[in-house]
Amino acid sequence: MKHTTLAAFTLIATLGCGTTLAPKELLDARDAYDRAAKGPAAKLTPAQLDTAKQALDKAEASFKDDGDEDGTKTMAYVAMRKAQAAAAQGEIAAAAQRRDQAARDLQAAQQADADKAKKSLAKTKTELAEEKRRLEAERKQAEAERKQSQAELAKKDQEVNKTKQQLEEEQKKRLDAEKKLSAAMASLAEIAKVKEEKRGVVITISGEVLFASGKHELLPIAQNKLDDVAKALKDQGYKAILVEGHTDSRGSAKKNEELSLQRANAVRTHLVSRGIASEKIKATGIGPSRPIATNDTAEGRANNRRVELIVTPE
Amino acid sequence: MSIRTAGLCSVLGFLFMACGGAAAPNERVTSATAAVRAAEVAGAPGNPEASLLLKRAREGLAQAKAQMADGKNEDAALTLQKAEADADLALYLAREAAAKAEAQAAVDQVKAFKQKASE
Repeated sequence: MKHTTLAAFTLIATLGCGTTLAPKELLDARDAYDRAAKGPAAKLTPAQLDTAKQALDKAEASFKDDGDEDGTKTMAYVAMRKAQAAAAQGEIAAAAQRRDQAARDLQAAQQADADKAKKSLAKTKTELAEEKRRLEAERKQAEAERKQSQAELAKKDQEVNKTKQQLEEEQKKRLDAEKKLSAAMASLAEIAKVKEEKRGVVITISGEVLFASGKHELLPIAQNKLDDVAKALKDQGYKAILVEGHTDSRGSAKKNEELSLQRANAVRTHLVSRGIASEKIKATGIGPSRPIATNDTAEGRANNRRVELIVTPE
Repeated sequence: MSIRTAGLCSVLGFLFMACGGAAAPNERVTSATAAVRAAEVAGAPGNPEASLLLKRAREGLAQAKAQMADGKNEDAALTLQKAEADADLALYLAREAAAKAEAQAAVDQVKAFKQKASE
């Protein structure tokens, strides 16, 4: 009987767990573990989750063996905390993954940005080099154009100087010629009348000075005067010279014409002998047909007896 | 005392004497105290949820010491297990908050950089 009582007591003591509902702490522990197992801890921190599982298993075993005693409740409470801690560690690991991924993303973005900047820099360098080459080409072209302009300017200056020099020479020559002409005209004026007409410069020498009456041979003094005339003509320059012989109206016209021609030829011959070009000088006898004064007076007839040199200037 | 009475007493003694005769859980005190300090260092006081757990752990630690003073060492051991579990969780919650903040800052930094780069 006593054995039966002890057995019943022991049975009640040991079977209590089987019939007692699980304590709240154990239910909370199971729930905490389930949530942890569904979170990132399952994949990222399986060791911590396993530790929580072991704690839960221990609590379950305690409940199975001992029921809802304080020890079981404490184990369940600890198991719940370990499950929550495992979940937290899973979250920590997940956060670390996100952080690491973000760091990689940042590094990739920075690298991409650096590559972009590098490309941009390279492009800018290329553009700058191209611009530099273009500017250099422009500078060289401008330099060449400047040199060409300088050369052209120098050439023009040279031409201007040459032209100026030529003008100065021409002017000098002209002044010299004018001086010579003036001198020649002054010299001629002493021995003959000189005047400009449409037909040219007309030098009129009185026949009284050149020839004896009725003769066509030059007087000695006339030769000296014609020498001066020849010298003046050569100094002045000439294109052509026409020697005209003129008489008064006394005597036959035919004889006067012959005489005037002979006198003109005499003058021509002497001038040629003094250096006047023979192909540029001609002689003609006009006779009495072109008087410059009346033949009714001795003075007028004296003026009509003359030799005229019609000079065409150069 | 008969042999039967002595046997019953030994069985009952086996069942009920464990509470009264347990040794002082000094190692658990040390371990729980270290867990509390670790949680403090991890920043648990600055996190609302962790801060509550830390407070609970400190209270459990104090309660256990009182229980030990009353000779209730077995109760103290259970209390200390809970306190240490609370402190451990406080530590991980503080770390989780810090890790999430760090991750979010890194993500924000990437977004900001990409946005700036795209301007």
